[in-house]
Amino acid sequence: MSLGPSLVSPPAQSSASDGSGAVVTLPGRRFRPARLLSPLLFVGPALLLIGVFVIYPSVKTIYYSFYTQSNAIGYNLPLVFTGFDNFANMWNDSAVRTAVINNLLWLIILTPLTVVLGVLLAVLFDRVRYEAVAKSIVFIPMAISATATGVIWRLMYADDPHVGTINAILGQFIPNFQSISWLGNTNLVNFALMGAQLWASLGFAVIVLSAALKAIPGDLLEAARIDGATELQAFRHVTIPLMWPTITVIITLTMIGLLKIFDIVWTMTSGGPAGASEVIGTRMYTEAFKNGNTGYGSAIAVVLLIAVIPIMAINIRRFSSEGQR
Amino acid sequence: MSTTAVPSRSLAALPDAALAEKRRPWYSQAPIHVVIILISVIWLMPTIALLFTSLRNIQNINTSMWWTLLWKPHELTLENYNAVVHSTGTVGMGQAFLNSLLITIPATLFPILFGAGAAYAFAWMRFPLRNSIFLLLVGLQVVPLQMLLIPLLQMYTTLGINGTYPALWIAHTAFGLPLAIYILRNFMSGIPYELLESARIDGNGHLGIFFRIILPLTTPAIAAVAIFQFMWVWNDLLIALVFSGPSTAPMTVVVRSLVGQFGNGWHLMTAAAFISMALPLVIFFSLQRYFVTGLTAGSVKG
Repeated sequence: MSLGPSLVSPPAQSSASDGSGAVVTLPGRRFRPARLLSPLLFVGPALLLIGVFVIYPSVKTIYYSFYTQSNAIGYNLPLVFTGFDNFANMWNDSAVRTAVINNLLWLIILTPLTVVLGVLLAVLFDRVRYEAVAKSIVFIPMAISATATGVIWRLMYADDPHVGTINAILGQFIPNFQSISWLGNTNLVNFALMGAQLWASLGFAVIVLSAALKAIPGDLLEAARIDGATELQAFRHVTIPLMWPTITVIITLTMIGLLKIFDIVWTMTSGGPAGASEVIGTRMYTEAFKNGNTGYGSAIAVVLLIAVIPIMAINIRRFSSEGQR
Repeated sequence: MSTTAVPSRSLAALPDAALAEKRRPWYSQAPIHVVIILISVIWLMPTIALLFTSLRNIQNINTSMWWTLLWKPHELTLENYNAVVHSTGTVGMGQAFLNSLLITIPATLFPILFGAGAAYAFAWMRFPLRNSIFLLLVGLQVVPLQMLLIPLLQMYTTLGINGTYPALWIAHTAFGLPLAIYILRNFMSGIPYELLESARIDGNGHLGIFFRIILPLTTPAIAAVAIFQFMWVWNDLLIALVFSGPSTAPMTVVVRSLVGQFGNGWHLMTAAAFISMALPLVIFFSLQRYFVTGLTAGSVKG
């Protein structure tokens, strides 16, 4: 900020009126290269970084997805163009198929669960005085990394009933209870992971939905009640429609997050046992960085990108409809 | 995002809720209290289980439940923390904590530094393709990290910087910029035009307007961006797994490798995990409002 005073003198900026011209551009003025200089100064560094380290790598990943190249990192083995082979191979690769199915399972189960529980808790919390405390308790996991969440839930799910809280509690209530291997059972592992993820991310939905709930004018609900609506009818026909824009935001954000899920699975199971809990993120990491299959790993990344594109389109459209000034 | 101005509004609505509560007799509220308390217990218990387990030695951990500590407080020990801070085979959590700081602080400052300037240009300057480029940035926010990893690793290897702090700073800065610019630009474009105009009449150029008017007024948005970027980098595992080296590994990587090495070494894993959570939890409890705003604003990233 010490820069400030030195800029008072007009000469610092080549010409004050010229600078202002960019703030209020008069329509119809001739395009002058000199007036590009200050925008470039402000926007250039950021765009350069994004161009070199985000856009260029993304394009290159798409390029690699059409090639086969093993152990390409560091060694420049020749590239072999293979067209859509990588994508075709994925179709027959049972590990990838499991990963895609699991990712869909995550989406189908966790997205509605997050929204429904989020709305439910937002409404319940709204009715008590200690709302702030309850909300922060549910929000705490948002401060915890997915890696630490992974350790926390490995501990909760631990097989040993002296260690794993869930098995210990079930053992207290169920006679002759046999400890369940939550993360070791191929049928249970995905649901166990989803439980951990729900614990980690529900707080976010609750906070956002609760804000939307507070924004509903009280007299609207009052009017509905005066007109003879029951609590449930008022909720269904007034509260939910008014919260709907926020609910769609939560749906898109949850879906994006779930499609890209990696950290929590990698920490808790690394995709196991026997590949039963693989997701697209873990498959990509394993192929690209464990097996050194650059081309195949890139193709998996591209599949992930394609899966996110519809959501990205919604994002852009929402932004455009909000209107640019 | 439109969802940022959350917490203050919820406080304003409190009297309404209190009123509504008064109208009903307390017992009709009882089921609600039961559900909320149950939820609160479920949400608190896992973290407490981790903390308690980390404070007991491995023999005690393996023979009795963590809550035993409540009536046997003499079992409490810090030996796990002591062991894990110094060495765990790879990098000790002490060094890893330092690495996390050395990675996170620059990787938080750079996106704000570069992003604020760009946001100003997108909000208040005219230049060719401005709207198209901005729309591109909106789209880039959801590009999966996985799309960058392989080419970035190749670039770093060619430059000979793989495994260094700058490699991690660059990846986090570039990946964080689109969202940072987006949030800052939306905030800056809400600043009244009259303020900029009067500053211009006082003889300020773009730099003067930016540093004297825009930056001070943008502090809340900068705080929000700083918090989400800090949390994102601090808690990141994937970028760190790919680009950090043995001596630059942050805590997430060390915790993850502990899980791999000692699947049942609960005493070390829990202590290490708790150390990695400590700073974000302190930030959460001390800056709760900004924290919620920041995380809400940054939630599209990934």
